[in-house]
This record gives sequence, C-alpha cells and structure tokens, in this order.
Amino acid sequence: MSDPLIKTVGRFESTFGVILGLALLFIGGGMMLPVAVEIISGGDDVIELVVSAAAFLALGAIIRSNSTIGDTRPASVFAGVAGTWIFVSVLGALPYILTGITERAGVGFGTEMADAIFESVSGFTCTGSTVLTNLPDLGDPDPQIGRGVLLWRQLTQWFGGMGIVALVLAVLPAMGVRGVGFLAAEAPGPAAGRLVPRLSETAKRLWYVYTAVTVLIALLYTLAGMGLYDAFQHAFTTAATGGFSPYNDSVGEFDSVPIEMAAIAGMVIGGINFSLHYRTLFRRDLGAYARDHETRSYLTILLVAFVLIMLPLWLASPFSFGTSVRTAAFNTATLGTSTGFGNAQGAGTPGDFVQWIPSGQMVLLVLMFIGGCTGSTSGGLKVGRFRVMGLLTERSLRQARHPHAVIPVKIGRDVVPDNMVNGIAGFTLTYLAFASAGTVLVAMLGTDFLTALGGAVGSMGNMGPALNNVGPTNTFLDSFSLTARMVLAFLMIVGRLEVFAIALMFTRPSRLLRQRLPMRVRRY
Amino acid sequence: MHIIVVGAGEVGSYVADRLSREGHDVAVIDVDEARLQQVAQDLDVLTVAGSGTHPATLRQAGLERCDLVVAATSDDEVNLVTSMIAKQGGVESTIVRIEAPELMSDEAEEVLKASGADLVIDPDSETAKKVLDILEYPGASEVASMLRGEVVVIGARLSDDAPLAGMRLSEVAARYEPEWQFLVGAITRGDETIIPRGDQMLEAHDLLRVVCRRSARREIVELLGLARDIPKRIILLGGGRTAFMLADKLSARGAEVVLIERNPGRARFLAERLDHVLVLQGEITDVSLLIEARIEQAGAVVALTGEDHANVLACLYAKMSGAQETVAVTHNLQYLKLLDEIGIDSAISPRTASANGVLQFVRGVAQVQTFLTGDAEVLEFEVADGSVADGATVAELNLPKEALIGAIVRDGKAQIARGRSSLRKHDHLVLFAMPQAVDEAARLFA
Amino acid sequence: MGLIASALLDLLDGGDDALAMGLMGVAAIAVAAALLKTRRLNHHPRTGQSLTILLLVWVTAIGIGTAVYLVTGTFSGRGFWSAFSDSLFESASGFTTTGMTALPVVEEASRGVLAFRAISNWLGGLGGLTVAVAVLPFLTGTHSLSSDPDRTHGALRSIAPSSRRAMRNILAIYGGFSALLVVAYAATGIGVFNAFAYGLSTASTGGFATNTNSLWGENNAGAEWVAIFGMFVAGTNLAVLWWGIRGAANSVWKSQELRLYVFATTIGVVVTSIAVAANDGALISRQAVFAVASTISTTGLRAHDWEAWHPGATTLLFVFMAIGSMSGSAGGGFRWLRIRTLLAFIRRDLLSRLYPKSVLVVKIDGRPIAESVVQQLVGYLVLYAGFVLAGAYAVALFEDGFRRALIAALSAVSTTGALVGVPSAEQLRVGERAVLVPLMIAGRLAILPVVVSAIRLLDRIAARTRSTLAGRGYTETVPGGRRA
Repeated sequence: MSDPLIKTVGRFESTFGVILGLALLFIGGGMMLPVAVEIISGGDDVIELVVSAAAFLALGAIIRSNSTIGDTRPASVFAGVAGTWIFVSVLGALPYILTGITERAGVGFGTEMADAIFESVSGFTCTGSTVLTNLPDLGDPDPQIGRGVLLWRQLTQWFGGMGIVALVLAVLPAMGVRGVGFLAAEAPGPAAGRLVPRLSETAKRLWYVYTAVTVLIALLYTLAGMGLYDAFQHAFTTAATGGFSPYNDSVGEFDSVPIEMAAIAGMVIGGINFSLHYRTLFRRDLGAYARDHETRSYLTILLVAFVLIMLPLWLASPFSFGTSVRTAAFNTATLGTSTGFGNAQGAGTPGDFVQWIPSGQMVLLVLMFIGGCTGSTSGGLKVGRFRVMGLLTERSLRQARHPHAVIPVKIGRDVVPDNMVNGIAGFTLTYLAFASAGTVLVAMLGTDFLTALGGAVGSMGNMGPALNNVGPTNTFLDSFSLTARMVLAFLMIVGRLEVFAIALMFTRPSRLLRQRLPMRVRRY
Repeated sequence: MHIIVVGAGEVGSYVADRLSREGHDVAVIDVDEARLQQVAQDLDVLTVAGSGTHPATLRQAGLERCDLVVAATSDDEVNLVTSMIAKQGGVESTIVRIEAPELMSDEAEEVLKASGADLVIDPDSETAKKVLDILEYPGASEVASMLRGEVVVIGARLSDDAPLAGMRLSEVAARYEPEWQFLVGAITRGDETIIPRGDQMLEAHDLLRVVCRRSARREIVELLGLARDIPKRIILLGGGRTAFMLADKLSARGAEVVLIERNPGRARFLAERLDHVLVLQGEITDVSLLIEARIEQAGAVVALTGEDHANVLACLYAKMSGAQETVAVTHNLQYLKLLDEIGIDSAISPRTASANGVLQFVRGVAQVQTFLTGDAEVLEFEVADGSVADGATVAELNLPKEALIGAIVRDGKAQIARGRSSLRKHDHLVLFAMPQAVDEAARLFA
Repeated sequence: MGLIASALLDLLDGGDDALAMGLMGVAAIAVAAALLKTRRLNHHPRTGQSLTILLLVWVTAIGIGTAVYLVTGTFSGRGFWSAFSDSLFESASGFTTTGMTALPVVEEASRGVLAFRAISNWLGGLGGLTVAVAVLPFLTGTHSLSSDPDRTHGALRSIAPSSRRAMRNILAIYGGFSALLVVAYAATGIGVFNAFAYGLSTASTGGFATNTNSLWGENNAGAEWVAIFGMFVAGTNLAVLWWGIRGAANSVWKSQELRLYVFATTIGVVVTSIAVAANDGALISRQAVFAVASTISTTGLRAHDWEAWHPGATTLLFVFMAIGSMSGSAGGGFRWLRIRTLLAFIRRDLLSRLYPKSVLVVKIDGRPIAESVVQQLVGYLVLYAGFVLAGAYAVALFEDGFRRALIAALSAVSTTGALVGVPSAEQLRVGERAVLVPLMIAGRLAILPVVVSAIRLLDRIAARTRSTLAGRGYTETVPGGRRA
C-alpha cells in the first residue's frame, strides 16, 4: 500500500510484479532466436529450448496480468529490481538444466543445478565466468553443446548488458517519472541524463543504440575474418562487455591479430557511455566523445595501464615486443572494460596473464576495480566515480597543506555537489566492503588468498577471469567449492546492480537507523 | 486581583484572556504595538506598549497595585529580568516562562531564586508532556494525570463497538460493583457538556471524561473501545523545541522516530543532537516526503509546526494513508470542533497547557485541567481542616448540580468516589465541575 | 631528536662493538648539538613545513642508524654497497617499527647491535605515538575523531590540557608499559637481555627479535602470552589507556573504536583457532591468539608457521594487517577509528538512499563528525590503498610471486614487518628494498607528510626550473649575459 490515491481492484499492487512479468515475457520472446538457430543447425535440443521459452512466457504472462503498478519508493524500487534480477537469473538456468550441459561425472543433481544457476547468473550479470569445461573448439564436427544453447548463453549477456529493467521500462510508459528510480537502481542506465524528455522513450532509444552497436561490432568481426555465426555470437557479448564465448579458448581460439583488434575495438566501445553513442549515431555529433571528461579519463587509464603492463612484459620477461604489445593490449582492454575474453591458446601461452610477471597482474587487479564508464555496459566502480575519488584524495592532500582551504570537487568546469560526492564515496566504500567481505568469505571456504581476492573482485566487477588459479584458461569449477561459487554468483549480482539494490533489499531501515538497540525497550 | 502579563504572544494573550474572564484586572505589556492593538480589540484588558524590563513601563501598567506579574515573552532573559524588577517593585508573586533547559537544571536554581519567580512555566515542554500522555493512551483525545499521577483523567470519544455504548451509568455502576475502577465525570454530546447523573444514558460518539486509577487504566481503555497498540513508529512533523523534546524522549523509550523539518540548518542541528532519529528535510505538506517517511506504517503522526493548516492537512493525509493515531498541535482554537469531526484523533494547544499552570496559581488550587472541547473543568482540592467536607460522606455534602467528586486520594492511595465514601481532612479530591459551580464547590472544602 | 637518540646510544655499551657505538654516540651528540645551535625551531611553522620537518626527523634518525650498523660492521662481508643497503634497510625497518630484518642469522650480531635494534624500535614507537596523538590528528582532520568520550579537543587534550604535560604523560605511560613488559618477559625466564629487547620491541609494536626464528625460537609459552598481552595493549589507543588507568572504565568502554577493536580481535581469534585446529588436530589457540594480536597491533612478531594455515585464517590476518591498530597508538595501519567512521558513513549512505530527503550525520561516540572530515577520510583511504598498490607494483617488478609482492607492500605500509608470505628481508633484492624503505617511512608517518613533502619538493623544483628557464630567456636576449 503506497499511494492511497490509486485504488485497484483484483490485482496485486506490485510494481515488482509488473516489471518481472514483462521481463520474463521479453526474455521468453528472445529465446525464440536460439530455438530457430537450433532448428536450422539441426541440433537435438529443440524441445528443451521450446519448453524453457514456454516456461518464461507462461510465468511472465501470469505475473504480469495479476499485478499493477504500485509503490515506487526507494525501498521497494531496490527490492523490485534486485528481485527481478535474481528471479530471472535463476530461471535462466532452465535451458542448461534441461539440456544437461552442466552434467559432470560424480556429482549429484543439486550440484548440477547450482552450476547451471552459476552459469546463468554469470551470463545475465555480464560476468563471463564459466563452469563449463566441455565447450567446443573451433570447427568441432561433433560439439558436445549445441548451437542453440550456446546462443542462449550469449543472449543472456546481451540482455543483461543494457539491463532487463531498462528494457521493460521502454515499453512501460505508464510508469512515467516513477521509473527513474528503477533505471537508476539497475545501474548502468543513462547517467548522462535523459536523451529525450520521456523516460520510457529514453530507455527505448538506449536499446536501439545498443542493438546498433551490436550489429556494428558484428560487422567488425566479419571484416576481421569471422564467419557470420561467430561474429554475432561474439558481438552479443562484446557489446555487453560480458565475455562469454562459445569456444573453449575464447577469442584465443581464432589466434588472429585482426580478430583480436576487432575485439579490442568492440570492448572499448562497449565500455563507453551509451548516451554518447546515441549522440554519435543518431544525432551525428562526433565531438561528443572528445567533450566528455569521463571518456577521456577512461581512454587515458586504458593507455597508461597498457604501458604499465607492456613495459615489464617486454623488458623483464621472455616475450618479444610484438607479443608483449598484442597480449598487453588485449588483456588491458578485456579487463579494463570488464569483458573478460581471453586470447590465450592454453595455459602458459602469452595470453595467460596469471603466468605473467606479477607487476602486470597488479595493474590488471586495479583495472578490475575501476571498470568502464558510467552508462556503459561494463562493471566495476566506473571511471567517473574513480575520478571523483581521485579528486577527493587530491583535496585531502591539499587540505593537509592548507587546512583552511576551500576546495570544491570539480570535473571540468562543473562543481560536483557535495551530496553527490558523498554518494560516490559511499558507493565506493560499500563496494569495497562487499569486495573485502567476499574475499574473506571465499577464502574461508577454502580458496587461497589470491584466488579468493581475484574471484571476489572479479565477480563484483563482472569481469570473468581473475587471478592465480582462475586465469583466462581456467574455469571456476576447480578452484572454488560449490558454496564459494554460490557466494561469487551472489557477488556478481551485487556488482551488476551496483551494490545498493542488494544491500538495501535485505536491510530493514529501522535496523539501520538504530546502531545498537537500547538495553530494554520500555513499554509506554 | 490586578495582574500584569508581559508578552502578548500566543501564551501571554491566552493567559490574559482566561484571567480577565475569571474576573481579574489584567494589563498586557508588549513591545509590538500592532500585536497590542489586536489584543486590545479582542480582550477586555489594559494594553501598555514597551518592554517589561523597564520599570517605567511596568509602573504604567499598574505595578504598585499589582498582585501578580506573568512574564511570558519568548525570551528567557527578558522574563527573568521582568520578574526581578517586579519583585523589587513590591509585587507579591511572579510567574516566569523559561525555555532553555539549562535554566531549569539544578545548577541554575540560584538564578531562578534570584529572579524571585514563584512559578516557572515552559509551554513547549508542557505540550511535549501532553503529547507523550496521549501517545500512552492511543485512542484517547485528551489525557491528564492528576494527584501526582495516582489517577488519570482520560477524554475519549465512545466508539460504536465500545462495551459501554448504549448503557445507563447506573447499569455500568451496577456491573462493576463492589469496587468501581472508574467514573464518568463529564459527557460532551454535540455542543453540550454536562456533569452526568446515574440515569444518564451513554451513546456512541459521546465524548467522555473518565477518571480512573492509574493501575486500572488499560481496562478502561478497552471499555471505551479504544484498545489499540501503543505506537512503535512515530512520525513528528516539524522540528521545533517541542518536537526535539518529544523525539528525544520517544526514541529513548525505544520507539522508531522519524522527524520532518523544513529548515536545512535546523534539520542538521537536530540530526546531530538526536541519536537514532531519522531526520528528513522538507515541507510537511509535501506528500512525496510523507510517503518517503512511510507514513502509512506510522503508529502515530504528531504535527507540531507553527502552522495550523499544514498540521491539519498533514494529519488528514496521514489518517487517510492508514496511520493509526494522529495528533495535531493547533494554535487557533476556533476550529477545534471541526478537527474532531474530520477524524483527527486529538488536538493539543500549547497555550492551554501553560495557561492551566497560571490558573492553578491564581486560584490557589493544586491543579486545574481544562479541556479543549467543552468548558467542564477538572480540579484538584485538598479538604481543609474544619471545612464542611471534613468528616462528611460525599452524599451528605450537597454539592452543586454541576459538580461531581471523581476520586479521593488518602495517604497516597486512590479510590473512585461514591455516595457513601467519607471525606476526611487532608484528603485530596478530583472534582469535575462546570466553571459556574467551581466557587460554590470550593467553599465546601475550604 | 638526534639528541635523544644519541643519549640513548650511549647507554648501550655491552658487547664487542662498545667502542664503535660509543664513538658513534659521541658523534651523534655533537651533530645534534650543532644542529640545535644553528637552527632554532620556528614556533609556528606552517603546516606543510612542519610535515616536512617530521619527515626529516625520521630520515635523520634512519641515517644515524644506518651509520651505526655500518660502523659496527654488522653487515660486512659482501662489499660496501651490499652492507649499505642492508644497514639502511635494517635502520629504516627499526625506526619505522616495521621489524623486517636483513640479518641472516640474528644471534650472530653483537648484543650492542641487538640492543640498538630494540631501541630503534622503541624510539620509532615513541615517535609514532607522538605523531599519532599530537601532530597528525590536527592535520588529517581526525582531531574531531578522538576516542575519548568526554572531551572534544582531540586525544592529546583529553590526556592533559597543555601539550607539554600531555607529552610527559604519554612518555610516562609508554615508558611504564615498556618497563612492565620487560619485567614480565624476564619473569618468564628468557633472560634479562632478551626480555629487555622483546619488551621494547613489543611496546613499540616494532617486532624486532633477538632470534632468527623470532619469538618462536625462544620456545617459551609464557613469553608468548606476555607478547600477546603486550601487543594487544600496544595496539590500543593511548587516550583510552589513560582513561583506563585513571579508573574511568565506563567512559573507556563507551569508545566505539575500542569496542570494534575488541570485537575484531575476538572474531579473529575464533576464526584463526578453528583454522589452526582444522590443520593439525591439536587445538592450541595460543597460536591463533598470537597471530591475531601480532597482526592487529602491526607488531609482526612471529611465533608459528602461519603459511600452512587454512587460507581463510591467513586472509583474515592480511585484513587485520591492513587495518592495523587503534588510532593514537604506537602501531600503524589504516586504524580502526577510521574504519569505524567509514562504517558509519556507509550506514548513513544506505539510509540516505532509502530516504533521499533525510538529513543524517555521521557520528562517532555520539559526537557528530563534520562532513569535510569524513570526506578527507575517504581521500585518505584512497591514498592508503594507492600506496599499497603502487608499492606492490614496484615490488612486483623484482619478484615472481604476485602474492608475496602484495603482502610485502602491505606489510611495509602498515609497518607490520615479517609475516606470512613475506620473504625474509635478506632474500629481498636491492630494488625491492629501495621500494620498501620509503613505503615503511610513509606508513609510519601516516602517508600524508611524505606525500605533502614530495609535492612541496616538486613545487620548488618546478619553480626553480621556471625561474631558470626565465633566466635563460633573459640571457639569450642579452648577449654576454650569465649562463646557468
């Protein structure tokens, strides 16, 4: 019960229901694509996929038709968005379970199901960590996993990239201005403000741009020498900065410099604010990128990281200059945009960054924290916030010298208002708190320190590969226990929804308010 | 009696009004001439422009024949100095209004003594106390503790499903033999207030004033059909002194308190000083803000701003959203009846709270409670040695028709009065009376 | 400063290097006297200046220490530069209370040298305490973050109204506590000299040992319990201790920082105990308690082989190492008061997201913290993390273990010293030491003085360059003018 001015009869007043129902309908519709591919490629998972699609559509229809828009206060917004994501991610495991691709010798059905859920969460959150060990090789005549399921896996990332809720808002003009909170709660929404006056129209256009960018990247891949099927498969996860690949060795499978260059370009594009892409593509405003401070910092960070990685690789390890540049560039791009493709052809090859000398890995760890731009599909803290944190540090240094100095935090010529600075600082701290708690927790579940650190930070930032035992050539299967994998899956959602939706879903405000309960609650 | 009231603000002018209606000569002093003009128009008092801290002004208001000076400006220092000058000018007693809690503490006792104040009143903390009382009896519209808290007078509207509705008082009495736990002291129905007799019929929607022993208060609340949960989540609208005191007390008792204040600076001040209180900043009439405060889950909403219309609107919205209990502070008493009609559970006036203190002092009785609706009063008397009442039973007393003894406290033990109860000297009584009967009744105990 | 150092130097005349050390002591006194004569301390130095002075004090002390090790020939045998790098590292590690040692076999060093190491720890601890209690709070804005519940003007003021009296009280508590520890150690039977050395390095959270295997080598359970107690207390806030001594137990427990410190220690002990028990059946919680006390106080005394423990326990120990001790203690690290404040900040942030129009204030011990202070704190966190990460990058250039590099940097910045995964310093390469020494100094001085001094230096160089450039421009237009 929220808005007493709205009276409804016979339906649950639940905005959560509306959004979840629509999301399920959309995704169920999207599942038709894998079904079609499976039929064309003559695979044998058609029925399983159709059943999954039907489940999505049926549940979506039931939930949608029984709920109307209700409460839109922050608490319910956060809970609604988090709920939608959790529900969708869990249900998204259905095709994996039905087709049995997570089956392994010697584990029970429960573990299989948990693995399927992990894979699904990793997909929707655009993380790209996998537990699948039997992905096909390029040109495998008899792959163990059919093309339909593989496409579904890529599609989950594509849906997660721009955001399920944004998709729903695009067709829900009735939400009006009340949708703002939902879009913000789902994080990488349009941070640069609305593109057009109406919110649902903005969400719609973002999805147009997203689709356009995806097609563009697919085109790049084709030009670089990929087949059409592979090009689209990879374009879905590149635009979403997800990092799933239908092949065992990821992009490394092709071992081709042009394809890696196309991937780098695609990933960097995916890590830029999509409202800038909108201006470029639909308003022909090419200067938008150059004028945007965040994009400039983003590219600078990538460049600096590239140099910091490349130099030690070249000078202090047996790699040649060319190899150093290639592998440093690819891995800077893949971790700097939270994508998580790999360019290794197996453990120990130049692309396997966990075998690098540690300085390079150090830089990658920092990149994992930072992530791409606000309003992009990438994860992490986001460059914009990182910049404000940097400015805050600079200010505290200057104030140490001049205690009475008044120094506003400025980006370009714009002063960042105090409450926004506080919000960013609060976000960063909460993010760090989750990451450290996650690290300790995962370590307690029996993973060594570095793998736990990489796993937690990587999952929070929706990277994919992480440090030590979970490098680009490993799966998450061996290094983490089942419980640890579930913790990581949770962290992925936490990171994708930028912490608050999840953090606030489980908190009762009165608990937060009251640091410690009084000794005894007196009746009065 | 000649009385000088310094300060023609809300408290001052109300006190002046009440005192002049009781037949005293009242002079009102204020620096604001416009306000004085208004007072002169509305009340039958003498007005003097100037500061109470100037002896000349006081003399102009008749200091030499004055018996009492009430210093009721909103400025503590002015009030203290006024009292000091009045005492030097030979005035017998002074009443001082003090707001700063620091001046009420033990450390400041010397200061108050030096000012010669005989009585200190603090309207804001009186109001806060009243609100706390009301929150303790959810559903009641008025609550007053009498005789050092031994008995409580509850004012409440009888609900449709109350067990008492539709019964005669005599039936009620019969049912609760042998020992009465409570007594209905006054009934307001429509515009009329009466002191009831045994044959009086109770109807739903009657506004009753019931006196009861403190220990029995929960049963009474149920009998009146008011049984509700004690509010755990309280929303205070407005962040003035009263709200500050309330928030502090309520959160110390374990309630979840949300406070809304308009002024950002004041809001920050409150947030710094109040622990465990959520302070929101904005207008209390802003519905989105009320929704943010989760007003529909409020156990009680107390509107305390200085603007009546905002208080009333916010309370109405709260009530409609599903808040259990709404309390509005109202400064303008003319619309009181309306508030009750539209469903606001209780209205509190900061001026009556402190005016009661002044009235008690002037009349020389232990305590006087007046109610916002209806003019019945509840008074506290001590049976004097050798008075008519000493040694008589209640029935023998021959009280005026418009007066009724509610409870008797002897040696700290309270009992509900009945016809056969006997009175002794030094007994304390709670008496319900209409104003015209007060003097006659008082003579019986003097 | 030099004066105190040299006066104490004179005290240690045991062992073979008495003559050399005596000479050094005299020399140091002479230098100090000369310095005092030529330089009169400006009574009101500007903030930036005073930060630089602070840094210089440490650098001078480390320089003297290096000279002592060189003169006594502690690290002779592998050429001058090797000896120099070893001496510098040992001295820096001592005066910053880090406690990593470059001595391959500690027992081979003379008693005089060992005593000097302990004293360098002790002086470093005292200096750190002075900085933490008296100087830095006013710079980092933490003065309104003091832990004392009743006063408002910082930890120092809560101890005594005048700064001179406060310093005397600090010295008294610190000295008394050290003496107490020495006596307690001696009572466990590890020998008077060892007790002296361990007492000093425990009270200062330094962590130098007189045994290659640290306290482990002593093989004495009693001594370990003394160390546990000593380290835990050394990591607490001096102001809190002061109130404890004065018997105001009530106000002590009101300190939210102390509660968090105790709470974290308890959690750590429980988790580590479970981990130890899981590893080798025999449950000896002493190991766990020791490890937790050693990391949370940033002492770094080793007692057991932590490397083999369950990763959960070691990870938790790393976290403790990073956070370190309480504010206003001799220890290092990020400090629990800041963590407590940041937690309050997070809580406020979450609430304000649920109630966008709420006005909420970050409070510690019931007192509001100014917004600017909280923001500065966030800046400090970034700075701290930046130092650790940049340090790790630099260390990693000379390392092949990522984890070792990360922990070594963390250990240096938090001045913990020898710990899990950190190679014993003798195995460190020269380049790594070159990185770790500044990290240790930065960590000891809570980073700000070092960074601000660096910025000042850069500013000055920039200004000099600019004026030189301008000068050259001038000379070029005037033929025959000066040349730079």
